[in-house]
Amino acid sequence: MSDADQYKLAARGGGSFERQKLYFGDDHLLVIDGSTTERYRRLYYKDIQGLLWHPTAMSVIVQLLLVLIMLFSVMGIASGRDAPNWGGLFVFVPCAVIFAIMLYLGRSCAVGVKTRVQLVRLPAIGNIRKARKFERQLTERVEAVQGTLTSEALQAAQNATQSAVT
Amino acid sequence: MSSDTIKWHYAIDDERLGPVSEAELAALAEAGTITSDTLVWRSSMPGWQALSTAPGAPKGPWSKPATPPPLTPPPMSPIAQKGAMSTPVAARPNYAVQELTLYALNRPSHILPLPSEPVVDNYGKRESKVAHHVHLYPAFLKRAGLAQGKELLEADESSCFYHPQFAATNMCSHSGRFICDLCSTEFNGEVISLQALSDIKAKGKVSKLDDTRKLWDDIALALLLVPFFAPIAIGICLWKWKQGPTSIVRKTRSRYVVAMVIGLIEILLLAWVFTGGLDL
Repeated sequence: MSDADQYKLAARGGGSFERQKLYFGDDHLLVIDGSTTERYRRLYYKDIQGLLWHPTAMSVIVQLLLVLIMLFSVMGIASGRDAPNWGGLFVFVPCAVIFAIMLYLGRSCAVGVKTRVQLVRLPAIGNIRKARKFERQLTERVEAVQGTLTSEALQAAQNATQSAVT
Repeated sequence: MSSDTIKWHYAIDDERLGPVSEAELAALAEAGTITSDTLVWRSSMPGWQALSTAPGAPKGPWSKPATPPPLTPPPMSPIAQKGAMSTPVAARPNYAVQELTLYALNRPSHILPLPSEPVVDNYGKRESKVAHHVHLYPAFLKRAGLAQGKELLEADESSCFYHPQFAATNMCSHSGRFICDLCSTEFNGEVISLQALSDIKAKGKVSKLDDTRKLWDDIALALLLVPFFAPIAIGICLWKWKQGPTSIVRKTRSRYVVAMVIGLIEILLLAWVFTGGLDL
């Protein structure tokens, strides 16, 4: 089996200036940054301490812009003197499609994986729907290696920490 | 007696010099002409003494308070870093506290309080201004395993190849050398030394250790956007063909094939145009 066979694509994407791909390997999550030169980071399932994400405002801003463009295009369609100016549909339809896709994908978000030494940002996961799916898949793999963290264990560790501080 | 009236004698290379005033002696010390070990004498002293111990002698640069070491330790080599981990746990009182720290994703300098559940939603808004979703795994509570070197107790005990002062605890399956816990690591299910791991990485034959790769097939495809670069693109494909897929997640050389086919078509089209095939 070649090394490539072990990898399963988890997510791909990124911002304007960064491309990232995530692959699930046998024992690690492979984070690939870059386009013509790939930089690899391997986050082993045994070392992953947590996954964090929070919603960002990007999708709201883009959706507002799309709504504005759609409003203008509707005004353009209605501005025809004798008949509707159907040329406005060339703007309205693509915007409406993008708007619908964005609604389906959910709000944009920032995702990070915490290990003991770092918090690795994952711009490849850009929306909450993808984040939830990624969380499910990652949790399955991490818990197969580490087991499940219980509330009791977390509470006990917190109490120990507090007593160490005092 | 004022300090100006005290006359000091000093000796350099068994030659008696002076007398000089205390201020002049201090100036000689500052200039480095005399050092803390230079023998000095004045009338009230029973015999010659080193300048640093002579009573009433002027203070030289050696008497300045020692500069405390920097708070931040200097950078260490990887082996030394691992060695530093051998500090006993007891010497790090807040180790557990430091480990159970959760930083906000949007503001990495802000610490979130620890959640009471492993999976929480809308968390940490007060600290980081943004509600986080947090999912913690058991490794969050796991303490770091501290590698320690075991001191050699008996003369006939095998010592580590890299740390002769420590007893060997493993044998490197790559080089066969005896190594201590500080030098050991696990690779592909075998215990090897860090040096062996570094050698394997340098040879570049194990993709698991690669940290960067240039995607020559993508570069070749990008070059084809300008038809004049088609020969270069084909050259790259032929040059890198033996290496196989350039990304570690690709299984085939399909991009090379595509690049070569498109490149050949572009070359043929260019040749046709420049040989008058296109009647402009």
